[in-house]
Amino acid sequence: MENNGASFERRDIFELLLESGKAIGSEIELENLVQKVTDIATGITGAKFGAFFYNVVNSSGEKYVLYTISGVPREAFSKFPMPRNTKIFDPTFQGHGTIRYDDVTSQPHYGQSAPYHGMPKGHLPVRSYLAAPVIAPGTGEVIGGLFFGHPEVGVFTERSEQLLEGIAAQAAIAMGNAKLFEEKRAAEARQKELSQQYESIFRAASDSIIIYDENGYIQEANPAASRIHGYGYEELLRMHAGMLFKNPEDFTVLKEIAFSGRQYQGVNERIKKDGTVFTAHFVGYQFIFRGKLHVLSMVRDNNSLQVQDALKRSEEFAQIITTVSPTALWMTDHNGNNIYVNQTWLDWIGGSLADHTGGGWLHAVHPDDRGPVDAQFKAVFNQRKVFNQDFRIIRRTGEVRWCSTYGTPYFSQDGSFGGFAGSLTDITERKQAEESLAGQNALINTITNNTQQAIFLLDERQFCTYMNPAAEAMTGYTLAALHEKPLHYHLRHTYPDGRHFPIEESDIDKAFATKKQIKGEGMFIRKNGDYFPVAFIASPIIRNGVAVGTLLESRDITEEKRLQQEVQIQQEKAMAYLEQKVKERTAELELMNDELLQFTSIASHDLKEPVRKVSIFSSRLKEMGLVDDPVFNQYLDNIQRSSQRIVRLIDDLLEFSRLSHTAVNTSLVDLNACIARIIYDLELAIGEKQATIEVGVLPNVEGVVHQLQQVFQNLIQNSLKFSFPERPLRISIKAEQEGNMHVITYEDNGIGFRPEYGDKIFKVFERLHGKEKYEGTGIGLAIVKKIIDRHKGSVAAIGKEGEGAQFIIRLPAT
Amino acid sequence: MAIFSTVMYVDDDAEDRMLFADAVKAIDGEYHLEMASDGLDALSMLKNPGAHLPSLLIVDLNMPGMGGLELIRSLKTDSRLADLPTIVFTTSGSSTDRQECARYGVEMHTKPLTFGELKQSVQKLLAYIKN
Repeated sequence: MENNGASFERRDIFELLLESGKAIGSEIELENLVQKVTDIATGITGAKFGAFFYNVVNSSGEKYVLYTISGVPREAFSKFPMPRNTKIFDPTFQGHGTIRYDDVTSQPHYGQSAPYHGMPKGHLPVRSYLAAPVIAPGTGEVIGGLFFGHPEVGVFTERSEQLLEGIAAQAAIAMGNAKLFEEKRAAEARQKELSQQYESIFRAASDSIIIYDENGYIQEANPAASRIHGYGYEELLRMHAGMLFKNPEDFTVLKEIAFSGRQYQGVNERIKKDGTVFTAHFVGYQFIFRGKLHVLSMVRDNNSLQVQDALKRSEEFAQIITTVSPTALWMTDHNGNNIYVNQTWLDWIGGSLADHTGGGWLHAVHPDDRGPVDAQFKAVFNQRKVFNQDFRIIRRTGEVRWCSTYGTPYFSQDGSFGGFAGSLTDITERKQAEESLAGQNALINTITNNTQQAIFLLDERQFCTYMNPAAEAMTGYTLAALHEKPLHYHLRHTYPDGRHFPIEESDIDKAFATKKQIKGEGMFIRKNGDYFPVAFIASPIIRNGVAVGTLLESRDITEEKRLQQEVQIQQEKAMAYLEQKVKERTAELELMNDELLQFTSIASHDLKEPVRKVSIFSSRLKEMGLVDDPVFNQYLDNIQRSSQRIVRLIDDLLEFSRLSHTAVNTSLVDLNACIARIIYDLELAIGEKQATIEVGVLPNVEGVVHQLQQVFQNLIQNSLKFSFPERPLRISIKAEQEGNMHVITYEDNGIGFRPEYGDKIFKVFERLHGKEKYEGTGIGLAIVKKIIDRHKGSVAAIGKEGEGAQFIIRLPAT
Repeated sequence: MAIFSTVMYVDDDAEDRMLFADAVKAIDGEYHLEMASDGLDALSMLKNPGAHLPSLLIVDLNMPGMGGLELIRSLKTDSRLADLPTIVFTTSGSSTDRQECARYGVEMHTKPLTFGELKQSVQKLLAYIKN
């Protein structure tokens, strides 16, 4: 019975596990799986509740623990940190086999773990405890733990233990499967995401991306490819990639490089659908696409903004572009039958692609050119040579236009001949320009052949490539004689003084280097070795911003130079004559001045001396009082007055003339001291007139002491002279500074003068008053003005008749 | 004898010498007057080692032989005579001459035109004598 019982139990366990195995094995979603494992295990072990803690690794590689609960609502454990790291759970998480306690609270390590030391408050009551690790087969890694409890003691049996171990093993296998499934699903999602990303990059890229096959036919293209090349997506998929190249040979080469497994990159010219040629920066490399070798070719979008801008413009504008676009494209098969023309050609000629395939395109060629074009094409086609010819086509409008075509053979990867592909450019304007150029050339020739100006054309090596007849006549050379070295070494190899003249020092040749016109003069050497002077203009010839040569115009200026020299000599002669005359005259004047000074010097002494004696002796006579006759004494006075006048006149004239001729040394002059000295000198006269002189604080000025003294002496003497006999004379001298000038105001209350005489008063011998009434020479104020002028100052006189005179003297402040 | 100061008057014009003496007399000046007729004459008198130096030297400018300025220049080179008080008394009224005199530290007075004035001038000149 016991055996039977035991075998029954074993069969029972086996069947139960078989059931659970089916249930667990059918589940591939991890979350469902663990719940199912927990539920089944809780049921068949007889537990009141159970939990399954299992390790998970997320996509970022972080490990964490999840759990499921069975038998009680999840909330019953939600208050506690899960799993609780306790001494009870440890052996299970470490994989130490199944653990079963009849009463967990009686275990020695129960209640040892902080912070609760036993079950925390609110925990479900557990007495019976059963736990088993879930261990991954193969690796032995503990991937989780199954824990069960019951509030009563001794509920779990050995059977419970065996069942749990079986379920744990089944769970481990199922979880491994679920994990693999999960990984596969994640990988698929990643793959999908990746290809979506590639797709978006491909579509969003602003660079043109084109994938073409081993024959060069485009298999895939992104929107940028359409935008940059001007073809629609569908159009591109029908096209040969070589059509996008201005020179189809470029494409052939690049394709070969790519298929040899190397990456290619560089710059070349591409043609858009509208015929526009643009410079493309490109990269290309071998690429597996749809399982076969392809080439992925990228062209950098150099001016996407510009393109967008262009796209924004009206369709009409686009139409104009295609109409005036100079480039049409064509392509033949290996038999020479046309298989493709681009939209530009169709826009020009009209009709559809079908009308131009085969030999249809020839109908567009002008009847006169058709035969020769056809013959030429066939000839080069058979020889696989370049097809390059100008001919006329008739547009659908009936207009005849000149075209130039350029086509070359293309080959497939296996080396077999694919056909010819090429472009066709409208060159009508160029032809017209050429014709008009021919006319212009005739005109230019007429000018250059007839002008007296020597004209040379120099190439970039400074070699002469053209000279006009005037140039030949001037130099004695013909063009043929100038071919072996730069023109400089024919015409300017040596300076007139015999030194070598290297081309680097030549101003003419700098026009080319500096790209600037240079004008100048210099010496040229004739074929016979003679030097002659020239005036020249060297102008750089600039094409597309690059200097390609020099236009040299020059003119023999021998005669001009001779005339110039003659004029100069004449001028110099005239100047020398003039200088000589001036010298002579100056010497004469100097002599005259010296004589004059000598004269005045003699006059001052020798003329004065006798007059003074007349005066002094007549005064003595009168003093002696020998004759008591009033008339006699009156006559003596007359003699005296006249002789005194002569003396003063001589003194003043002398002074005045010396002012102009004598060089003087200046110093800082104290005007206060000057006035004091004058007052001292004139003490007597001042006393006689009962005059009072008020002197303010006067400045120091730069000047000649005795001259400045003379100024105030003359003024004071003037005041003394022209005063009212019945009115005490008052003189005031004040000064103030105005900017950089001292303004000295001299004022008296004498007889004054009429305001309109303000200027006249300073002239020599200008007398405002009769000499009978007032003594004086009429030179005093002229001297004042002259001295002040010589001190870089000014003097003005303001008069009021009967009230007084005012003199305003301005002198520079030091 | 030493109570009168000695004044030397140098002038080529005899009339002027006479007028000067008259003027000194007219103002009751008690001076011992020495007369020289030109620069050389004056110089030889002054350079005589035994001579008593005058208290004041009054010199005319324009004189034949040696003029006034030339005389003054010569005095300046002789340490015994360099500090001799000297005044120029001349017909010239020119500021250039005045400036020239100032260069030698000598004042210039112009000979007046009346005897009355002459007396005043002489009084002024003699006032230069240091007591």
